[in-house]
Amino acid sequence: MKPSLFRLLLVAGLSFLAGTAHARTLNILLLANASTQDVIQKLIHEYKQQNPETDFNISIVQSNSITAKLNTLVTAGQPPDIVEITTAYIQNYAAQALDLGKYTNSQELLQRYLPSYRPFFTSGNKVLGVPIEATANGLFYNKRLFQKARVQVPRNESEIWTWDQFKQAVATVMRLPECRMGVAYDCSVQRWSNLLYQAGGRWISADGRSFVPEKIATEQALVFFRSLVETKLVPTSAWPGKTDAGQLFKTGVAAMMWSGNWQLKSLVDGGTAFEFGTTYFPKGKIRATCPGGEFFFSFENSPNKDDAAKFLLWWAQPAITQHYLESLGGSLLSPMSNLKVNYGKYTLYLAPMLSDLNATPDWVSVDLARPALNLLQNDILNELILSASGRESAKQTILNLDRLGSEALRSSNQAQR
Amino acid sequence: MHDVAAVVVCLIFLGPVLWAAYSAFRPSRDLFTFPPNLSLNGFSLQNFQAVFASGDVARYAFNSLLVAAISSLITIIASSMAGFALAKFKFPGRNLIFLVILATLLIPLQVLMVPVFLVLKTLGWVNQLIGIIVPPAATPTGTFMMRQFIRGIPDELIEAARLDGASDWKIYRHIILPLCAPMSAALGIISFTWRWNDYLWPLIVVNNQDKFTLQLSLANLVGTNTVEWGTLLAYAILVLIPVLIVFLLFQRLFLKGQVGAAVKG
Amino acid sequence: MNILQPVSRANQTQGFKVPTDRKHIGFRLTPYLFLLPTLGMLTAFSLVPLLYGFWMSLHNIDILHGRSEFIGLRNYFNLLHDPKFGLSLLNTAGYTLAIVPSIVVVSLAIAIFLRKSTPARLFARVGFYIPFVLSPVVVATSWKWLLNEDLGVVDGFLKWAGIATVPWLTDDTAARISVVVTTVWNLVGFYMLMVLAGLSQINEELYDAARIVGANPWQRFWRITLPMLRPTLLLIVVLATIHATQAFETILLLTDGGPANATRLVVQNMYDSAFVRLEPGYGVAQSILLLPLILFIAWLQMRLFREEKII
Repeated sequence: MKPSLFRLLLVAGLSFLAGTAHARTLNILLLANASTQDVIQKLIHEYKQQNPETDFNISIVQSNSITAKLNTLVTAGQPPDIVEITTAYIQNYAAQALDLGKYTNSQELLQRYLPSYRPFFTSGNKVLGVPIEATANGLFYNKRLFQKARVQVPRNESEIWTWDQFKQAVATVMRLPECRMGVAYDCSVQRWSNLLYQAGGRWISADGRSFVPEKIATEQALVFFRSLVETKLVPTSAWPGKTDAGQLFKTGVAAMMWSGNWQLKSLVDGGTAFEFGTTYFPKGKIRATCPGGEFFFSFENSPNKDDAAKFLLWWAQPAITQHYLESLGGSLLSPMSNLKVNYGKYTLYLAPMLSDLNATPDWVSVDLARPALNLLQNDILNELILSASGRESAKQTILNLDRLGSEALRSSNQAQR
Repeated sequence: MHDVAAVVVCLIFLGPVLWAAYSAFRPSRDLFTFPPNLSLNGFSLQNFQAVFASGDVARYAFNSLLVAAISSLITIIASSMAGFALAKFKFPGRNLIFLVILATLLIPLQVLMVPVFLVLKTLGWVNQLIGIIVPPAATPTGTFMMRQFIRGIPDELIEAARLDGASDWKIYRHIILPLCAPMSAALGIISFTWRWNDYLWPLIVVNNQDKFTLQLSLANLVGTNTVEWGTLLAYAILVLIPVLIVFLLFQRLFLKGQVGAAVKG
Repeated sequence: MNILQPVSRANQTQGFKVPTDRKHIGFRLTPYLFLLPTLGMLTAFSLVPLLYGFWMSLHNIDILHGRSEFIGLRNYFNLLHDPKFGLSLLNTAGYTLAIVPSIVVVSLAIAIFLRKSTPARLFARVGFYIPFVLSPVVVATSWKWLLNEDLGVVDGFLKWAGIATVPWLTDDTAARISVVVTTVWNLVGFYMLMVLAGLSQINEELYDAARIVGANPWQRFWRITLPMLRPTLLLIVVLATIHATQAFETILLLTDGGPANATRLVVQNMYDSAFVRLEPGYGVAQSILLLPLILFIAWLQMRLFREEKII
């Protein structure tokens, strides 16, 4: 071989080796979600351009199947490097998640986020992951029906309804013949929990030992909800029929929808045959809304945990989080404090929900973040359905909830020792 | 006339499907309106456009087709062989083996996802298409179907062939397999349907987007809190069509009296 | 053959014993060789995982902390005292008893009706098969929307006809009926195919001869079709029973086991244990406990259809 050719090949070979020497592929599991999955991939692409030695293998999974897929991979010893997950499940993996505190100052990292979100992704002193977007529950209403019935929704915080006023308003609108349903209400523990918190109650006591400690508040919430179902203000196809609230609201014959800000994108972008708006949740003893959101986290025994941590911390920069949320168009909320996100056309709709979120005490998130709550969600929902359909008295429901909750808390407290 | 009745009953039966098909051709916002908008305007192809925009549909279709076709072939061959053995031979352990085969039907895959994944991991079949072709191919239902059908084949045919000195393999190839055509067609159609519609297996096995099947991609339209109903219905209708084509192609094998006619008196 | 006698199964026996006078090794091995592909695959992908699953059921597996603790048969013991498991078992039994006869009758009726290969009937066959091909999401969504008691077409029609509306998915009994109807609608195409295949096995000459003797359609059905379909009927009954015990996804999407666990079947209970309560050992224990029970029922059915003794 000619010497110059040899040199050329040597240089080519060495640079090739140098290029591939540090290339790592991160396996990332994303949740199927028409609004977010493409934007997340766009950001991943941007990260790749800034960090060419990292490559990503993206897999999108339906959120109903994420635990099945994730648990299988984890138990078989092949955890993905990064996972997108919701508040419902993140605490399940608290013990196995990668502690981001090992890579940065955890206090400083936590300070970036709203206090109401911190309980979701912390466990003790461990920082489990990075919030990417936030959600809050909220109340939607059908403007056309409300105008026709001449009922006014609260326009500012001084006009916020009490529970009774809320009930009255819906009942009045329902008198219209074209209004076939009252409040389209998702049949889930989380959606119902808003009432519990508004009554001043909670699922698990502050010390984590007892279930539904505030018996009176719990009873008030149960009785109130039962009265809504009984008077058909909440349709039976929602409770216990479990029809999706969004579906029911989009028919245009429902007065209101008790759901959350994630509905905004399809309502605004997809369009509705009627004009709709959002308003404040009614006030029980206090004002409250359930926060939620999605997170990225990694595993302790992931083979590429250092690169994963690097990516997570990149996303945790305020500029990147803001970039992501604004790329989404602004339908999802910012989990960060002091971050001015431009919510665009959603700003007006998000205003009441943000106000509710601000008024929500911090212990609501602590309560929602408890793992026991998620493990028991089907059993709790069953009890709530029995109470709502009048098959059980509120007192009996509380007894049952207390029993099944205490059992679960006892065994989970034992396991943690 | 009976023919007219057949079509009418069929159309009534298909009510929900007709709703789904009709909804697929309307914009998403009209989907759940009340009262249902039955007018002919408002026809729109946007849902179908959204389907093709949702990902590499051609590739997913190719994967699904490959998996379903090969797996069905394996199923027909393996089941007819096993059915032949169980129906026309007496050998020690026959009943036990049949019961064991049947017993495997009783194990829901949901519960055994982890052990199955470990087996596939050992074989190196994780994230490979072969991992969704071979494992589900040995369906006990197929074996059962073939066993029952082959029992209906008169022994005289086989006796006659044996007297002529044919080996068991020849008997299988030249007598059993052709006579099994109706049941093979049924099994082929059903197996193709199953593999085409498999969701749990691909969920466990596949990690790379480019090895996705149509069902995995369709399922992803069920988002975290909201569902893309319009796109989903359009997708579901499209995914339906290849299976129906397979059905139409194979059902001509259900010819009346074909098997019985082979025995004269 | 004397056509006035009911068709006997005499010429369709259970198979013949492997001749022992022939000292041919190949002969004795053949059945096993033919079974090898199926058994090989089933062993690797069903039996081995099942054994591992049994091992799992003897442990209390803590996914949250990645630990597992050997507890012997305690899961099984707890199952016997578990009211949720008992309820799901009862629901499954009721569901099976409703589904199996419905499927047999409906699929038989449709297949016999669509037996002739006229273009209209070929089209109808595809039509009846379509629901079987639909993914559970579409099946459940469309039925759920149709059965919606506030806005659904079914109750809308009932209201228009002056009959009281039925809470299809929110009343216990009505929900059970809805679930059975939806499942039969979904599966009938599958069973129809099998009957069609079985029907094609029946010699056309039998029917011709019967017609000559003056047998009417009903007699032809009872004396020729039904007896000749016996292996197929057994197939359908056993498979429908097994499918009924494994029913899960469509029901989950339709009622989620609701209204208040009225339509909660055993597989949902297993899934709940394994993936919601995160007790996978307990989940597998349920499926292993049920296995001999269902197998026994299948065996009983085979005896009932007077197949040769299985055990």
